[in-house]
Amino acid sequence: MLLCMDFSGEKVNILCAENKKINLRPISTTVVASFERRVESLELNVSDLGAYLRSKSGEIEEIRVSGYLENTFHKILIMPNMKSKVLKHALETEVIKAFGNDYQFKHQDLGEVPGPGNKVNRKIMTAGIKRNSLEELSQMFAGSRIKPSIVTTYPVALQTLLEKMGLLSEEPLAFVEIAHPRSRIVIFQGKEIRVTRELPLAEKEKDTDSSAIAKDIYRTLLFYTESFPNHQVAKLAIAGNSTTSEILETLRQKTGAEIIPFLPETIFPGMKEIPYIHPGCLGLALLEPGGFSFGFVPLSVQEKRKIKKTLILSSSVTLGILLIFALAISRFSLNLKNLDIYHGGIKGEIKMKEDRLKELGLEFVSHFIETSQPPWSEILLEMAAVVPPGVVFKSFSLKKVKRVWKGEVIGIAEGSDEISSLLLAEKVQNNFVQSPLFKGVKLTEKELRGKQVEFRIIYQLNM
Amino acid sequence: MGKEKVIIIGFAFLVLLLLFFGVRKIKSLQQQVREQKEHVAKSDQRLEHLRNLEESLEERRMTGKVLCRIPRAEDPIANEVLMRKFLESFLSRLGLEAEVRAEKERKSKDLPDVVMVNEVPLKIGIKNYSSYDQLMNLLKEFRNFPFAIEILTIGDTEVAVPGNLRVQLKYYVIPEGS
Repeated sequence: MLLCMDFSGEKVNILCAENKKINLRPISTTVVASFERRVESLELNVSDLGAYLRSKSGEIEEIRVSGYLENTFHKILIMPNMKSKVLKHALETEVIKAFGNDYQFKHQDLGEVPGPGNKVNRKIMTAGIKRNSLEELSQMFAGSRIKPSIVTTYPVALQTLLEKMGLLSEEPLAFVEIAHPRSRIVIFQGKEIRVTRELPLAEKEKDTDSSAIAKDIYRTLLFYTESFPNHQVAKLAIAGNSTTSEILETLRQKTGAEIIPFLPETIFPGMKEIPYIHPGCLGLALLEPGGFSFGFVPLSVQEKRKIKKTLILSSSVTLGILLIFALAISRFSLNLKNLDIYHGGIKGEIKMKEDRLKELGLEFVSHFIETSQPPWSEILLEMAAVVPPGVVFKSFSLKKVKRVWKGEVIGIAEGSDEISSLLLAEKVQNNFVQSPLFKGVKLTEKELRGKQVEFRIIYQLNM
Repeated sequence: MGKEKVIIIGFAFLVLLLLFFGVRKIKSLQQQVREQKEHVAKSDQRLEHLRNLEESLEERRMTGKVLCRIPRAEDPIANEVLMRKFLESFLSRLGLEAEVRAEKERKSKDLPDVVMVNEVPLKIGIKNYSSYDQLMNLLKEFRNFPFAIEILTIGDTEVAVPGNLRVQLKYYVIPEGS
């Protein structure tokens, strides 16, 4: 359900369309809006708004709001052609100069206008709303589940309505809403909102022929003509539930303008059954959210949105990082688990093999002896081969020391003289060195005993 | 400080905490995976070794290449005597006059724990050693029994037993019921 609320009057005007989407289709030259299903229009005191919102809480899909007229401004500014950032800054200065620092404002570029000399200026439409007013409006929806998606001014909503009704043109048009106790007049020209004014409506007893309001409207039109000398308001659209035929007649006589009564049912079929529909609300309903420039967001809401955005972004980043870590940790954990399972399997198999090996004890011992004992016969044959004629071994030993077989031979070399004995001892050492079965061969002792040489050689088995 | 900044700082702190603990956890897991891989590799190697060993032992059993064993008794002292007597008669059959000294049976540390094996240290001193052929023959005969020679010496005195050919060796025993 789409809820459009206008706060420009004494009471809150509400338009409640059951279907959020309002379909527009052109028929000949007239744009027709068909409100599908039920449309409800009502007036409420501000104090009853909370209760109303609560009662409709479950059905509301979107809320659109137009604010008080007295706290708004609409002004056309002619600005030199400049970059958007600079323009925004210049506009801010202009607005502050004209209306003070209390307004939040938006602008719309209406195009180029010729300036003095060959200069081209830009026509900028600005609309502002008092910050306090905007916050006040926002506060009204503090307890509501749905917050307003569009907050704008009453003239902007009206402009949309008149545009859809095909009433806006390059000729100035004054729209007057006569509603007790205050009335409003807004003068449009094309896309420009040129004048907005609130008019007090005198009580009937004091102004029986409604001349006072007619005079007020007339004076406003005169003011407009003075402000824009070449433009005269030729059309006067009249709406409001306090409109009487006397007022219309008086206005026709005084202004000489064409009087167009605001009758939406003539243009929008399906509205005949609704007793009165507020033009501001109807304008709000017809607004296209992406297609207009004057949507206001209160600073507090902007702040909340920023915080929400920051929260979402920060939590997304944190969640992303958390997810990456979770994935990495689960991957490594899974790897570890798989390795544990695989290792468990291997351990089981090892246990089985060890049990089996226990049954093969004797074979195991046999295998151990075979692999740890040196090839005795080969060693003994080699030992015999390294001894040349003239040399005898006095002793021979081979001992296992920590998996290494260390040996020692003590022998006597007897040659024809001392020299040949020494050479024989050397030869024994050389034979040991050249044998592939021995390593680390050292002739540690040599002693001459007459012609004989007693020697001592140490060695290791090359296994 | 704006709420936005507070949120950003808060989340930044959270992210830092996440990074700190996450990286630490990942590093620890990586380390565990690495260690486990090393364990697995070692176990794999051991299993491969055991497979080969089992294969070789099975083959040994199938080909009937089985070692002879010296008869044993329940009593350890009787066992020592039996061992000595057996060896003396064994050597005598080879024409060698020898003195045999057997020590007490003990748990062997030479073989891995997979198989429970005891050892009996033996010292043999052969008094009538005269030729190389005798030694070759003796060593050949030893190969039929679970004997492992530790010291072999001719003409030396390192093995404390009388004789000119002295051998220190171990006899491996597989205890009953293991």
